[in-house]
Amino acid sequence: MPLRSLTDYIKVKSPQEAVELLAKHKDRSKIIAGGTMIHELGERGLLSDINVLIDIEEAGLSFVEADGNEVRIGATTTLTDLLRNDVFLSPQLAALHDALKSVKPVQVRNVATIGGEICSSVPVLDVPPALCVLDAKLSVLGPDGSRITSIRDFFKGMFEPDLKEDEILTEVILKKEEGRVASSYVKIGRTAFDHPVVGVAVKLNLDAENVCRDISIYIANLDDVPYRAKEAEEVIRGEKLDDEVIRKAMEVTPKIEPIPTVHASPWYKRKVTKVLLRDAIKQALSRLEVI
Amino acid sequence: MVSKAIPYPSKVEEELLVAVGKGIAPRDSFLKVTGKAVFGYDFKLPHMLYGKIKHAMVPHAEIVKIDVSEAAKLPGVRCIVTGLDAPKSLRGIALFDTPTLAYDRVRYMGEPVAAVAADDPETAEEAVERIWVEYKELPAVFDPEEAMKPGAPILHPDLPKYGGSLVHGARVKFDIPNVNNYHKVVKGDVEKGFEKSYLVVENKYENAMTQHSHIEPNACVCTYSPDGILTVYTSTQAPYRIRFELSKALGIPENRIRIVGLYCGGGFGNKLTVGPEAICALLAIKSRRPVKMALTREEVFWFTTVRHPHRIYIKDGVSKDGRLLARYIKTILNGGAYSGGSGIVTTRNAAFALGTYNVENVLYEAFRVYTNLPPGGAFRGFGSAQIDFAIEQQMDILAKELGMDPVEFRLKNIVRDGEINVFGELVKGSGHEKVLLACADALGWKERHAKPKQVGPWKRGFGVALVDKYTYCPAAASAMVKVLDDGTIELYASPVEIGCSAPTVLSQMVAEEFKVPIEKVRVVPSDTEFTPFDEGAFSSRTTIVVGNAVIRACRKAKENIAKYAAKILGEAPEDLDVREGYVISKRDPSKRIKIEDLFARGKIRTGVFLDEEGVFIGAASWLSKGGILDPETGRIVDSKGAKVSERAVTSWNTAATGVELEVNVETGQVRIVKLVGVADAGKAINPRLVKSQIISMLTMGMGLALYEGMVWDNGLLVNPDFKDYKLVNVGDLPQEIKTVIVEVPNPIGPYGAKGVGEAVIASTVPAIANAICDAIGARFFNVPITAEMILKKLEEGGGP
Repeated sequence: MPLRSLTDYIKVKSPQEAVELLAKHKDRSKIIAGGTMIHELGERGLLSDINVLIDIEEAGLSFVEADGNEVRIGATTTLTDLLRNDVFLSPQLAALHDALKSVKPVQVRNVATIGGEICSSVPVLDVPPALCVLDAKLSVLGPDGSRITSIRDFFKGMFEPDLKEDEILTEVILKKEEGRVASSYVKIGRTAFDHPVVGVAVKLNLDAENVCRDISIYIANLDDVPYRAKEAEEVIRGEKLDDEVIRKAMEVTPKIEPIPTVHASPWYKRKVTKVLLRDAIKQALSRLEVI
Repeated sequence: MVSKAIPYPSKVEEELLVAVGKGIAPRDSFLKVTGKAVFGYDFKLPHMLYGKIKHAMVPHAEIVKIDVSEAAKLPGVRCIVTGLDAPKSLRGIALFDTPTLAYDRVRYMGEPVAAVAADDPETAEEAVERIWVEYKELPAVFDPEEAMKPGAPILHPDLPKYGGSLVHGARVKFDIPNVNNYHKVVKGDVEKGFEKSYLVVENKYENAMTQHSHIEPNACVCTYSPDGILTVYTSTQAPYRIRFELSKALGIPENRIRIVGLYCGGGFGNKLTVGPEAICALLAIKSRRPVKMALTREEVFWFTTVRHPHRIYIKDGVSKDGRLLARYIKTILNGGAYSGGSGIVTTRNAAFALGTYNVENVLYEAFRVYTNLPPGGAFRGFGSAQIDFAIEQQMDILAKELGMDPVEFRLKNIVRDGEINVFGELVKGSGHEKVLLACADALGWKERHAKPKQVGPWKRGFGVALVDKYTYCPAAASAMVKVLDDGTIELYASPVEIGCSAPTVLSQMVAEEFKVPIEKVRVVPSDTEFTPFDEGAFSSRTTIVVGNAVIRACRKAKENIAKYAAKILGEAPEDLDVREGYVISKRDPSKRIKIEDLFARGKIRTGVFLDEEGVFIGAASWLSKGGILDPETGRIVDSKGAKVSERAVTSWNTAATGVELEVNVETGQVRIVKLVGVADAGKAINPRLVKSQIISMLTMGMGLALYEGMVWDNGLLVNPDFKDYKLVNVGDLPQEIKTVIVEVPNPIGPYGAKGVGEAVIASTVPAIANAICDAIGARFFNVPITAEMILKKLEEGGGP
């Protein structure tokens, strides 16, 4: 039975209020936004010590603000709201759009929030690798005010986000990058509605000659945290992105032994990672009209 | 009770049908979509307690001690029962081997050992956690063939003492450990058949263990009255069967138990036997309070019945011109810890394995084996989806080896009308040829080579499969109709609404018999207190068996009404027809009287009554006699050729599936492009509902073929949830799903109807396997055929 020990469910009106409650109830409390992860953890009996749920849905954190230089996303913005926003259709941010679209079914997207996707810190979600390649900055609020951190440093382990007991994530910030930049995310699931067996996010920055100035690759569900495929990045960076370079990158990726999933062994994940890496790069290239 | 054929209408009469054959919407759609239909999970009574089960967390152990003292101290806990204070009687269907709560040993992880009733579910659950069980662990066995070896752990030392059903009794083989049912079929001499065969093909197939995954987990409310009546409100497929099993389990006579069949959110065989009802009843009896027990999804996975994995060894011999000369099948059912209602699967599997094709020489052997896993039970198709996975791949393999078209090869071997089938029955009303041809046609089988073989990494393949599911025999049901003064007809019968809309189908039959609009028919919900005997919603039987009883009941009621009206109209009863709310003279239709005018007003004008009759009722039963198979031949004729039974099955329900799909050679993923489901409905009483049955079987079959499988680690279920036990979702379905209804009348079905609830599932699994092989040239002998298995096979160079 979920949340047997729950005594209070508090809807807060501001992020500060949430922080105060966290400071007061410490590890007896938990933040709830869309509730998809809380529901699952509760059903699995993993929240038996939680007395207080702090609902931040009305804390004023559902927004998308874009100007020429950056996009700021409130932590409780739902995946559906993000998916409907044209700003994520740009080649640079398209990985996020791809990832959002691949979260199924739509009922989950309607309630799940971008903050929840991040703060859950589990490897089977689609959105984190996309945000990692985009090098999203996270604004974290605590009793002493805000701090900014990079999402690339945020995942410490399974269920271990870089958040102190009394901190909450308030904003995700995506900065505009100069140059010919495109990103993409592709995944495969066991069925059409599934977490990724493997999901690969790629962001490319090309010069005028289609030589790769920079690349970042993050992969879902190979490790306890989104896996950065540095081995592939090194092969590609500084090279002209032709089939031969892509083939070499596929060869060296992934360097780790993937974690197993029911009906998908490490062997299988290794195999499809290579295919997805190629597809993700090609999808990004097509967004720059290189292919 | 005699079974007499009810003639199906001729073409001319068909045009006059008012309700039968019409695709009307389920009559309770409004209740369901507005959320007002009461399912087991919804049901509540005042002052109700909530029950929770303590499950064993070891696969095989003796129970040394159960300590409930800490649980009893918890405020709000009202009642605790353990195996030690529950009746030690055993229940089951073929074999009585299942305790309500384990009392001496536990045999699988998840087996109930104790239960608590408390004021709320949270308290009950906490109390369950505080129950402490001391075990002495025993060696466990999970593989059925390991369990059959000498020296294997014995799960049921008392097996020789167990009782069983008179009709479907298990045949225990005492010389092999843990075998709790054995069946064989012998026709001719297989060895001789193989000797003269041009080609012999031998393979081994295996299916994963799967869960029914009905959307509503098993749920019930039990209450025990001071005068000793146990009432069970439950989400069940079979009220009368549950009553029988509860009587066995609790030692209460059947007529002191009342089962109220609530709306049932799917069952697929898993609500055919007792689930939580017996344990819930123990709590209600001890606490003298109503108790509700609603399983969680995890509990459904751990503790209810499952579809057994079959391990199938098959050897086929064919002549050069493509005739099946010999077929040897040895199938081993991993039966889990108890018989769970599937002794019958062992026996009846032979029908699916052998009913479709004419094979000169046959030897079929089936062994059901105890292992330390959840009990195998009935599952939509009753074993057919497992065995046909093997048979229908063999048919493709043989065709390929012979260089024949798979459809042509099947047509050459199908059982046809006028032939004697493997059980010794004279075949009448067989749909084999029509169904297979309709399937090939709708799939575009002949034109399949016109489509590109490969686009990018996606390789295209086509597959078909032809199968038979039967409706079991002997099968019986009773029904009663009551005709009210306003012409309303009340139907009293006991099929529950499990999603097939049986009440709608039966109403159509009543409307047809009385030639009235369907709104004039009221179906009384299933309740053993009021509605007469029926064995339950399974084996594609309700339309045929209950339908026949309903029609007979209607005709009896009409006879009674005609008799009553005869004096008034001055006609002989046999010259009168009851239709459209009137009693009408057949000779002079202007001579008629309204049914309501047969009733007289009461003296103080508060109601109506019949002067001489009490009420207008008609009650009848229908029984399909037979089903007894000779133990040595497995046929309705013994080895000397003497008939031991009228028939082996009530109805042969033929189906076929056609598949077009694409396989990604880089990832192993399968994308279904087109599904064709064909069912021989005999006469589709409601074509709209037949169509939805076909679609539901195609999708469920897809899941069994590609995704579904329970994964075990030493008796522990790794994926007891839908996160890692993957079901088909709407996103997996192909753009094109075609359903085709074939109508080859069933000589003993109502209006010619056959059952359509199961067969297509059995043809879908092998059709998908055949299409995958067509695409990439590799055979798969295990299901589910996961993307990983496909990729591995491709890496190894493909090939069978």
